[in-house]
Amino acid sequence: MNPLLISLLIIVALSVFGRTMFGKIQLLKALEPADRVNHLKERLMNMVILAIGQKRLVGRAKERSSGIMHAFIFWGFCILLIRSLTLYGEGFQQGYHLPFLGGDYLLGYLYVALKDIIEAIVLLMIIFAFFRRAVLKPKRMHNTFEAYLVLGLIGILMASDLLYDGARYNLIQLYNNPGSIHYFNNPQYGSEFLWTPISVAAASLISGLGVDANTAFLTIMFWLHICTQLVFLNLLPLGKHFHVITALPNVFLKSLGYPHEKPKLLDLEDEAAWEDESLGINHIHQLNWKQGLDLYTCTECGRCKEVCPTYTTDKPLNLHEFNDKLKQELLENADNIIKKAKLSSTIEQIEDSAQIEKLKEEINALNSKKQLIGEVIAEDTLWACTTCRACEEVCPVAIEHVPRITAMRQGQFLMAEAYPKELNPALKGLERNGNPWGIGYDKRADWAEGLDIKTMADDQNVDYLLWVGCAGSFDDRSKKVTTSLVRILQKAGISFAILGIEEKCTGDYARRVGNEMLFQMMAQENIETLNNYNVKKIITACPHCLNTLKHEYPPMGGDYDVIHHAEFIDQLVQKGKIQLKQSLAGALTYHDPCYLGRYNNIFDQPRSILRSVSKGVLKELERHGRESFCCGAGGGRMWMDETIGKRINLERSEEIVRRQVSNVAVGCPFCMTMIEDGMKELGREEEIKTMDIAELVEKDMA
Amino acid sequence: MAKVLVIAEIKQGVIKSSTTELLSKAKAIGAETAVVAIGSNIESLIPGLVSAGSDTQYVADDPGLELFSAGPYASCVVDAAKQFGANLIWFGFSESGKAVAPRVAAQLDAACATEITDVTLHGDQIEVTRPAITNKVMQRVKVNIEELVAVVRAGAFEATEGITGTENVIKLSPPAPDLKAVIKELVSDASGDIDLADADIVISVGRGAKDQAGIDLVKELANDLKAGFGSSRAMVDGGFMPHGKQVGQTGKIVAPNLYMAFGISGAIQHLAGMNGSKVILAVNKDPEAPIFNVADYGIVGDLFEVVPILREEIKKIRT
Amino acid sequence: MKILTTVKKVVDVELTIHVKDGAIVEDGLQYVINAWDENAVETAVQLKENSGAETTLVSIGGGDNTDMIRRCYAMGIENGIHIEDPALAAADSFVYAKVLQKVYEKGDYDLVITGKQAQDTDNGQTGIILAEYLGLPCVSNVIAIEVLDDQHIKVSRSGDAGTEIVELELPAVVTVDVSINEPRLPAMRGIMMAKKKKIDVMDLAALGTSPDEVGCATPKSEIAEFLKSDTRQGGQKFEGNAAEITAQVVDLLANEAKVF
Repeated sequence: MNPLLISLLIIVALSVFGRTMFGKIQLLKALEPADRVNHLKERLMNMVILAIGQKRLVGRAKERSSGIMHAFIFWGFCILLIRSLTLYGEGFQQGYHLPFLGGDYLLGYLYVALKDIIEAIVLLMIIFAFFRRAVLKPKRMHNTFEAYLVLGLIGILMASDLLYDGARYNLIQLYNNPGSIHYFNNPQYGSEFLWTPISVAAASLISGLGVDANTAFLTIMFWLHICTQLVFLNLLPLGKHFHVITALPNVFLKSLGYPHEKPKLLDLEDEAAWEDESLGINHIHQLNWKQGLDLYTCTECGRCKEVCPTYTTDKPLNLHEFNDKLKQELLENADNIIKKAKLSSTIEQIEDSAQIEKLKEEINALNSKKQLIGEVIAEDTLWACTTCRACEEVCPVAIEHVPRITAMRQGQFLMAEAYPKELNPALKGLERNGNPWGIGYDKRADWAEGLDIKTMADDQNVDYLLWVGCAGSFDDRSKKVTTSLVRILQKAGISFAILGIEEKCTGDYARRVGNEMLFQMMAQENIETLNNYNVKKIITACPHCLNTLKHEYPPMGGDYDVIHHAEFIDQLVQKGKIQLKQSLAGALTYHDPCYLGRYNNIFDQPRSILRSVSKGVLKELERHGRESFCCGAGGGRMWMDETIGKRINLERSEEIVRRQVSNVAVGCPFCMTMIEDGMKELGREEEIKTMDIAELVEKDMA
Repeated sequence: MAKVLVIAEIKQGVIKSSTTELLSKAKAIGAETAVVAIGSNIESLIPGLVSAGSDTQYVADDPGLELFSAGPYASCVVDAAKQFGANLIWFGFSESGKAVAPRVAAQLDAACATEITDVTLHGDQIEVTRPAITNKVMQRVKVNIEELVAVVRAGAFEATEGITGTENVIKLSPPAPDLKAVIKELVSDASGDIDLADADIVISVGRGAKDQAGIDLVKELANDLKAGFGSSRAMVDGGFMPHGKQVGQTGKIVAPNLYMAFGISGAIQHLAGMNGSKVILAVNKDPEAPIFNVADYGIVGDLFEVVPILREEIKKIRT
Repeated sequence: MKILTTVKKVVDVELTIHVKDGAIVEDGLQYVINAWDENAVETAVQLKENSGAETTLVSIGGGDNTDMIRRCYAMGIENGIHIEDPALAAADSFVYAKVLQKVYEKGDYDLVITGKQAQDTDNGQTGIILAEYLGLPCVSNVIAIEVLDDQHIKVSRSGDAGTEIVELELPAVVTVDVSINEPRLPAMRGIMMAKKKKIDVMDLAALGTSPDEVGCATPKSEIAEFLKSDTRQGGQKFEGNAAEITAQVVDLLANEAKVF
């Protein structure tokens, strides 16, 4: 159309875009390092399935319609990229086509047909999107000017291109092509317009306006499309639509294996780190680049809010707002962070120690001043989290919320010395007697009296260590579960022993609340005991113990094969080592514990056991499996009071009551406590029995 | 012969039972007894001091002694002890007793023992037993010198029925006030409620009472029996009962004749506060509640059902 | 203002204490800071934070108290003295008070804060006796403390008739109850820094005194033996029809226990 004009537009737009992107990338590079460039094949698979495949949108039963809507907009975008390139080419040379997509190839025809339909679909999806936002107004959605603007721009892009082709059609077919506009007309495949019914339909909207109007439309729609696209491109990095560019890399770089990247083991002996205040995250400049990328990528979709047990019970943890506030703080400090990185890189070349000191001072002066907790994020927000990971499960762009929260709690504990003081008794108890209630360590094995159980001290040549855990040792209700499990193991003839009074709390909740020092202390002590006895295989009834022993002890020198009792009992049943009579009457449901399900992918074994035990039907709760609703005790919250909003365990208990069952099975001592308490508060504890899987199996064993 | 000086425990113008109990024990071990009473306007109490079992009454009656102050009170006791020639000086288990006893011991260069449960004399050798390590063990302590100041555990000594004394009043000159520790104000506990520490019967509520309705229900029973009304920590933490009503390790320690625990599970901290009760009755829905391990009589049931029945049955028995 | 606070290392009362042959079975026991002294330390640190006081702790006996004293440093105490001497093995409250007197006289303290009692002996005497020896005003069982000026503090004491508000002229001694505050968890950073801090360890001679002078050789009382505590046992437990069992129990209370 106009090579000069289009060149100018492209150069200007791309320069601006390039500059913006350069700044964004520079900022990420200036943040702390993170080790993510590894396991490339696995990462590629993730990207294909989650990002390109839009698995969490299309594959999620809830809100599938909006998932499909977005998926088409995204796929449409990808497909139409080719179209865009063609259009730019058109600006230089009339009738420009990419190789193999010209009028001589079937591929070219297929592409124009595809483009045609896709544009219509995208346009329809955009209209649907507008309708959802403005009329249906789903609770999780955050309506902003930007959201409507972007929808509008995409709408314009689709409409302008359809009208461009519509005008083309009119000029070519109706007005005898006065400008000799190029179009496909291969004898084998026919006229291009046979393959583009939508464009033809669009043409009919403006066909009556005459040659001059159509010619004008042709030109206007062309430049409108180009300009809109270039403006849109430059708007992307400025708001939530940055995800258009960053989502694929973010998913590619997401954590592998264990639900998220194992937390960096803080070196608490590192004096420099204490000086620097760089243990945990207290200031925005302490984020690593992956966390920065997470902030860029938040689409503000609000799915995290919808599944978050704290947000749905009116606590102030609004995750997308959390992301947004951190992002604003990051951008405000961008210049300083980049400068800091530049200066830091020059330190290596300097020899003179006085100069190094001066440089260090300059660098420290560039640190972001604001305390994240208190000045950017409220305290209540940080401490409300139960670390259940429902947010991470549903986030379409794989943002890692929980490790960031844990790191900020570490910062609070270690550096700021600010944390909910109501945790003190639980932490002191842990320090002194190895359990959160502070009960004398010498009573840890009292539950085992009369049960004929060996300790490792008696005989360490056993196949399994039964890790009892604090609740299983001291809590009256949970002791019954331990006893049931012991009876099952004994019935099946399993060779096992316990640590007895040598067992100490794994330290799970100490780490979740940020007290890394206490966690490492407990871990070291336990690992020494376990290694002394040459322990290889561990069975436990508590998912928190499971999680910590299995995933968090290895970096500290403790490598064991850890198995949850549900897995183990399932194996016993499969191998025929115990027989179940299927005698449990009444409807039954199962509450998936967060640390067993989402954290450790154990969903099927408990269900398989429950089906073998129950003659009644096994019903699923509304929020079950990967989207199970937290009981409210994780993240150290078991030891804190819930003073804001509705109690999480009550919310979950109500859900269970709605299911109309006689029994609810659990696989975790925290869940047991929370749900039983919830039932008591609702006055339903007689009708609905809360039982652990082990207890149900023991009762049903032949 | 042993000479026992008992410090009379006076509260709101009433001589508390510990005075009689301590004097009874003194007579039981064959000692000469004297009592020292400190306060303001306490002349009228003298007959009571006599009938409690004292053969000499040292009285320090002065307006300056109306409010407790450890220094002046200690001076009075030392004065009386010296005049009497006491070799055993006993305080009842009160905050005042615990604050004054060590001062008296230091000033008289005597030995000092807190919370004794028994005292024996082997000739001149004094021996006491007392709890230690938060009541987990008992100690038998030998006193190596002739004088002992002791604070006696609540209810450790029994009052002798029909004990008598002789009137022999000796007025003590008022002590100098403590100018360096000046009492500015006394914020009174007194709410008209029956004092938990003195009551014959104490009734406490716990989490099982659930809320104000449950508390009110149990309070009716307490009113029937004119019992002290206390609480476990759970109800204090929950804001239903004031801190002053908390029975337990960090609250009030009580040792009544009858202690009734409603909806209280029996955590160690609570038990520490009422373990010394003569008879314990517990009502709780949970048959495994630890309180049943110390209760003489336990009812496994819902307190909302049991309390009305209890009131009925008790009314029947008392008529 | 200069504050001296006492910390005693005592047996952890969460453990089950066994008595054999008149003595306490040491095997398996662990030792911790006395709970009331932890409150005393917290009180001192709060006064440091609010009124700029200088704080010193003193610990007597206990063997190797390094961990305990470092923990107090991590809570915020600036200086630490540990008096350890074999002659102190059988010390009683009077001996402790005499040793504390010597420590006090070596420094220039305005306020001594001790815990109300030690959870191993449960005597509750040492602080008060110290005040007598030093001739200082003293208030025990303190539940709140406020600095009025350089020479005066105001304290609340939990007494028999209610809460007593007392104004003390400094120097003075106070003994504190657990309800005065909630001792903080030692700061992480403090724990790291405390590893480098020194503790002034002295025996009686280095303190400038002798076993005779503090009364070690002639304690006023001594423990002849330890005995098991009478533990209360459960009695009769009734389950069943509420009306029936309640009537039964009331009958027993009246006729067997004779409380009605």
